[in-house]
Amino acid sequence: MILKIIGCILIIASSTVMGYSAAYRFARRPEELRALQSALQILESEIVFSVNPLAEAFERISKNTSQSIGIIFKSTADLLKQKTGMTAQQAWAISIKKCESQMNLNKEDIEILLAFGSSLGCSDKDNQVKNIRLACSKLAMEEKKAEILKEKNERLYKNLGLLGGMLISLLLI
Amino acid sequence: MMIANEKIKKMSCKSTGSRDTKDIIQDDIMLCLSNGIRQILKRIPSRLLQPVEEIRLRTCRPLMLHDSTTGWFVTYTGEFSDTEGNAYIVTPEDMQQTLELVSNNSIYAVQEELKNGFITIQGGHRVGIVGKTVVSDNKVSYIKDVSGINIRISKQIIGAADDVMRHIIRKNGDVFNTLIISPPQCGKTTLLRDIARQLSYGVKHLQFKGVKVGIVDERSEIAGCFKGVPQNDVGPRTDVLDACPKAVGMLMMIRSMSPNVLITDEIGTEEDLIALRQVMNAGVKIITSIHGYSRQDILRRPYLGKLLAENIFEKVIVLGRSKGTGTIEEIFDGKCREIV
Repeated sequence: MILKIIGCILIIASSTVMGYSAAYRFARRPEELRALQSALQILESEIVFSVNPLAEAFERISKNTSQSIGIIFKSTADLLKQKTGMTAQQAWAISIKKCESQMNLNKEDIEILLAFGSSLGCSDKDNQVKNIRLACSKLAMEEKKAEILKEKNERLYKNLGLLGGMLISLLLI
Repeated sequence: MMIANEKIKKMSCKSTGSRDTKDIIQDDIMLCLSNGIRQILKRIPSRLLQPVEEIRLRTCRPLMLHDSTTGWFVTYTGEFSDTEGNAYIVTPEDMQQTLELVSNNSIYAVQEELKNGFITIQGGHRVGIVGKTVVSDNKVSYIKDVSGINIRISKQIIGAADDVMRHIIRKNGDVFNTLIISPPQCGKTTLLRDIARQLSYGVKHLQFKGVKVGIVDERSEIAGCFKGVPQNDVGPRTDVLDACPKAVGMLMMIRSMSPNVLITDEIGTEEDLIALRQVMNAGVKIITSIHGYSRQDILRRPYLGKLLAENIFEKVIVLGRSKGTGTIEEIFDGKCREIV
């Protein structure tokens, strides 16, 4: 009997954790999308007002942005500083691939970021600003969607985890 | 006119402080070339690279290297060739990558420089760029579809001015107003740079103590400033006004930094000469250069001829390449007497 109770508790606990972690992904995504937008806004002012080179600008952004997002900028800056002949687009794409697993973004978000990278650094100020604004507005749209998904799914997954665990244990008993 | 025996003297190229072309290319130039071209340059033996002064990239045309007189096509295996047959063809990707790397992956940061058609990179090398210009208000606002990139390797030759210093320096520790006449690519900038350096440090064997030197470096070639730091050694008492138009810059310099000697490259326009006169009236000595082949050549020019006829330049040095780049062909004093 005791063994059964312990088993049930373990099942319920683990499924609850799974539910919470799924819910966490939904909760984190809008936050990360917001962080990305503010990072791009810093980039815009770095380009327009301070006119800093990309590597320097990215380094500064990485210091002012939350860990999971800042890491893309840090990695890109590091790659560019090695001066191996990599273009900004290549460095950005590599960094995103590398950091993808640590972020809670979905495929569409990543695509926006990659498209943004394609003209990174290789045009004049006006075009850079246009590129940044375009990416920002796309990210803002994704953020809205993500908020709705979060509302819908966050509590659902939390409850689903707990109740699912209970169901499994009931069936097993 | 008195003709002295040793009319022509070769400018000495002492190697103290001068770097091998291979090293310069390795350290500075490679970093801003596309990977494809880097690989090719790596294959070229350093013996062949030594005289190279320019690296030329043209979209969909052969890669070329130039010294002061000839140009060579470069093959994929890093050999020099006189015909374009086997030459490596520069791809549009090479151009785009190179342009991005030249600007540190930040074209927006160099767009002001791009309007003038060149960018100065780390090491003081100049990268000239042509392509399709975007014009607004009669001024070039941007260059797109870049079709040609020319990287001019700047080689500081420490001691290039050793032979002329004694002509420039007066006995009482003063300096003569000096004009250097030189055809293109005969080493006038190299000479000016070393004059600036020696005046700034002082010349021991002439008992000349270092003086304040102001360089107005319109084309960023003399000092080769990168982020405000002269990449060439121009001496400890030297101030550099970088990328500033000469006429404005000369007056700014004498007001702001009170130099004893003002150095500037390639004067020519009427405004330059008006500014030049003002500088001389302010009691500041001037050392400058002009494109030309001989004293007579300059005398025929509309504005400068007049200035030269007035003998306001106390020394006139004519460069050529009769015995290699940077040969000092003639030196005159102000009264047209040849003194070397």
